[in-house]
Amino acid sequence: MLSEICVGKILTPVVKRITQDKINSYAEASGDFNPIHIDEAFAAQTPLGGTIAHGMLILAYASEMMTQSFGRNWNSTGKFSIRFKAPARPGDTITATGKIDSVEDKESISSVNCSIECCNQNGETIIMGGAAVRLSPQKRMANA
Amino acid sequence: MATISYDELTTGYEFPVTTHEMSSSFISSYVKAVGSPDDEYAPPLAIAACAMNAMTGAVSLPPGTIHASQEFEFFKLVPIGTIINCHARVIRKLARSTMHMLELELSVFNKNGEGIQSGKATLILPVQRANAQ
Repeated sequence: MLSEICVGKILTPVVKRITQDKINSYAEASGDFNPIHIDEAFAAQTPLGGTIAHGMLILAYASEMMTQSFGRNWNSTGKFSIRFKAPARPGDTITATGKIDSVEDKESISSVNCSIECCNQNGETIIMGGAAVRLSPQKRMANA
Repeated sequence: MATISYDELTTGYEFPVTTHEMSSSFISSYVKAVGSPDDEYAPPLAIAACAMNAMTGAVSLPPGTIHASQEFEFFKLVPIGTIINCHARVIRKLARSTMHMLELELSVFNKNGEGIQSGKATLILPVQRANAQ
């Protein structure tokens, strides 16, 4: 959990390396067997030139970062709004980062709004968007 | 198994509701695949993956379809063992000369009918050469 919840606070990043095995495991777990993810011969013939990771796999890394920062509040009150900007490929190292942009206190709830981004090892943006989570003031103060 | 073709989809179409158990074996394989820590609650994106399957399992989308954007909102913690019902509905279908776009609304409920998650997904589909000409 974050030690302090305030505007400008940087969330602890999550770093993961993508492999074809991980993509295949995600396909098995999620049931998404789109050949663009798992069929190297097919993917090589497409404009993408090779297999790409499932967008939801990369988004899971951003979600892990949010859980790491906000605990179960994320799992029960979280909100994502993101765009998939570029594909992640086997061999890429993905870093999910985030920053608290605003904290709005309304009645007995604090809404924490974050900007989030997942980039590859070349700094190319894979996912970009926002995430929000609601916290009770007690939980927010407990983190302060 | 696909029950409808992409061409048959229209705005407002509701996919058949799918039911999933957030079983410990499913969660364990999901957590292993994404490399996240274990918990006694289902990771919200494991539930989201099931919600996406309510659509992808029911329609034959052309190979090369990609996920362009995603919105999700989570409403409650989901303990391991919970049975969830996933609903998906087409809210927009666009056809342009170079690409097709599909927007879907996703909703997930527990067996008591309580909302667990909602979301919106945008998919970009390749235009088959035959269709483009």
